[in-house]
Amino acid sequence: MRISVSTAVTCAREAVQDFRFYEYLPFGIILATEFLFLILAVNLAAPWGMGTVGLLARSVGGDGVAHYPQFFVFLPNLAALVEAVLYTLPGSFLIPLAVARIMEPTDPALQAPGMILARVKRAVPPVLVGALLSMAVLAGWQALLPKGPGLWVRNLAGGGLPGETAYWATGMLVAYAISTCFLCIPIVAVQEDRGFFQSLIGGLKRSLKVFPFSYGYVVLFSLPALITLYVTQVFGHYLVIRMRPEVAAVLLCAYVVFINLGTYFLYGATTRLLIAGKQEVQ
Amino acid sequence: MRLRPTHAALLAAALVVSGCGDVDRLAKRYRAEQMTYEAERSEREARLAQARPDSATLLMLRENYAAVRRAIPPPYRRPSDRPGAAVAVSLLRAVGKAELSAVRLALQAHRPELALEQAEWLSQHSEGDTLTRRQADFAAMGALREMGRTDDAIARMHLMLEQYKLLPPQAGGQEDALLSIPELMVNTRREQGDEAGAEKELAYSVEYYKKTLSEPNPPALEAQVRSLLVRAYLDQGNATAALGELTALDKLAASNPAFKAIEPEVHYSRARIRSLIDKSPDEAIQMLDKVASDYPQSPFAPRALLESAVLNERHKRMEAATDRYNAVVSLYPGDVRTAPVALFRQAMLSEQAGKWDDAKRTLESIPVKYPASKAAAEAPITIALRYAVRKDKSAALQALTRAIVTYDELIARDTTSAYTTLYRWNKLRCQLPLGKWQDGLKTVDEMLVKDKGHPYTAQALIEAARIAKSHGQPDRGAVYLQRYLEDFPNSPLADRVRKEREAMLH
Repeated sequence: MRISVSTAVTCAREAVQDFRFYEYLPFGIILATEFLFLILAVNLAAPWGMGTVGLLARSVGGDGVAHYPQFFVFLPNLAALVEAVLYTLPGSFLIPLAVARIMEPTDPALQAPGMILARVKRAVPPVLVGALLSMAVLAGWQALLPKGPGLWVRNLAGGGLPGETAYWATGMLVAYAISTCFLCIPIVAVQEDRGFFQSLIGGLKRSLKVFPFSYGYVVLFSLPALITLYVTQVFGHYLVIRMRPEVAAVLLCAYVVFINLGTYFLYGATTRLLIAGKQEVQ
Repeated sequence: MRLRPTHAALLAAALVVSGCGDVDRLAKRYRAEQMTYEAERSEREARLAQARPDSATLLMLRENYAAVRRAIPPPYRRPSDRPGAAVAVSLLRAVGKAELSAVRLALQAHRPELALEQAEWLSQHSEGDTLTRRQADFAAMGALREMGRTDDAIARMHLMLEQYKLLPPQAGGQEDALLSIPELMVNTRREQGDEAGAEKELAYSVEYYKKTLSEPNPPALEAQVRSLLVRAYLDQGNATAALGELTALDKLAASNPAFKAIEPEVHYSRARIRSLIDKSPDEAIQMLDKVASDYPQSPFAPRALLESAVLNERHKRMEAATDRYNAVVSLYPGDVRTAPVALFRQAMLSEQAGKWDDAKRTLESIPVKYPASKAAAEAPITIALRYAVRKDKSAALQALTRAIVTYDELIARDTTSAYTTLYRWNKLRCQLPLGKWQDGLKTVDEMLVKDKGHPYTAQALIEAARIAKSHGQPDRGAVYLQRYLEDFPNSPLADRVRKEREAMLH
């Protein structure tokens, strides 16, 4: 499978230009859920907010995080957890569904009634396992970062803001590289009539093959979200304590929109890239 | 109808939303914290805009805190709660924090009656939480003192000492605030010039400490109480009892290396006992000087130096006394307990040595350097008195005029200072020799409002009645005496004042 840079750029441009609500809807469901979470999070003073997100926060971080304004310092962590759960569990069904809808115009087999749902159902187990594997590797990286590479990067960049920024950027870029290695599993699982292991291994292999392009997509489409995340994570404590605590929720709102749209464009571009690669081989 | 999973989920959600379990109270606690945070934010912004916000601003800011209790009314506990239930206590403390901030602002805005109402409310609604009730009682005590209801404040202090158990020192050796109450009672009486009352409170303090020590206590608390007992005995001049306690304290300190921090106090107290027992001051002076040189970082170092200076001065060793006063002023200028006194005594010694210009300069510097001190209240009038002693009448009159300006500045600088009554009283003492009797009566009228019930006000009323009569206003004089009888009904002078009032009216 040989893919040229111009093909990759065309795929990325098409993914953005050909935005269709029908394809985006599964991601829209994830976004709506995240919005609901944030609405509940900024309303902990009401029993319905405290009874839902408040109790979730208490069960994760203890009673200390269910106080004002400490809750808003903890909120980015809680939101990251909710995001991970949403993209892993319902995402194992919703992401293949969105991918199948993106592929539908170019795959006649998917146009048959009930075929999309059948392929998506079959894709759920490998996608779920792929997502869990990805999370496990990411967790390993998160554990390793402060002990080894993080220290090295911090020392190299010096103290203060440059050190913090370099540490944060290293953590994010490696985490995105790890996620990129699992990126093609939902596409392969939906694309071809394969079994569980074939989808999983095939998806991993395909991810590695298109890695330079897909990693470029990841960085490109995540850029607005990355900037928001940088402000939230590096200046989060300052924003909460010195400005208004609710600023954290506003930034998270922007982040979930950017990351959600970015993920949709990412899958749109990568799916088109794999289809283009297949066509070029044929 | 069969109960389906969706029905069960809806029911659970409805229960959560309707306040089942602790959710409702957790949400209320969060709301209280949110409102308090907003109030703190407004206060911070107001203080940034205006270093000393006026009373109207302070009361407006106070309203933000006071709104918390209205938004989250009691009860905070439920009958089904087990004692000390975490959610109930944390909700109460969240509301209590806002209430105490409102009390603080009410006091700063010179509205102690508002502060008292809020403190009493918090005390009544503390629902068995001792920490909240203690804080509320402390706030009420402060409000009562600010209102001039000294007897009520002291009665409250007695009640607190009887009600609450002493807590062992917190991290960093910080003592329980309750331990400061006995000394506060004595000082409050002394500030009023009520030496007999102070002696009575001192005796009560000794009994309180002894009673506390008769019960089992953690060693750290025992050490704190014993050192306070030593101080109280020394204050009473009871050297024998102080020595006995000091030996016990010494043993306690020796048995536990953690109590090394109390060593300076032990040595200082031993030196003071020595000064009470010995006829010659030599050994006591030597011991006090050793405390200052061995523990220069201890708060007892400046006290030891000052004590040593006083002993030297008392025994006419002026040079040695001057050296030590100088040491206190130069080495511990930040110690507001000793530095102003040392500076004042330094000035007196300079005057005795014939260096009047130096003495005058030093006295003039005290209200500038240490405005919130008794020395600051005494220094301006002392300059005038020293001129009078030197028979320099015009300089004395000029000094009196300058002193009045200084007292006005001191009062304006901090209207809540414990010394404002003394400033006003001394201002009156300056106005009368200058013949400004109408200004003097105005000062007395001011004291009647701001220093109601204070012994200096009692003296000022008698003085005002005399002045009014001597200037052909006996009716006004009778009014002052009437106020005296109303505000000080138990005064031993009451009968004489009543007769004088009758005489003025006929």
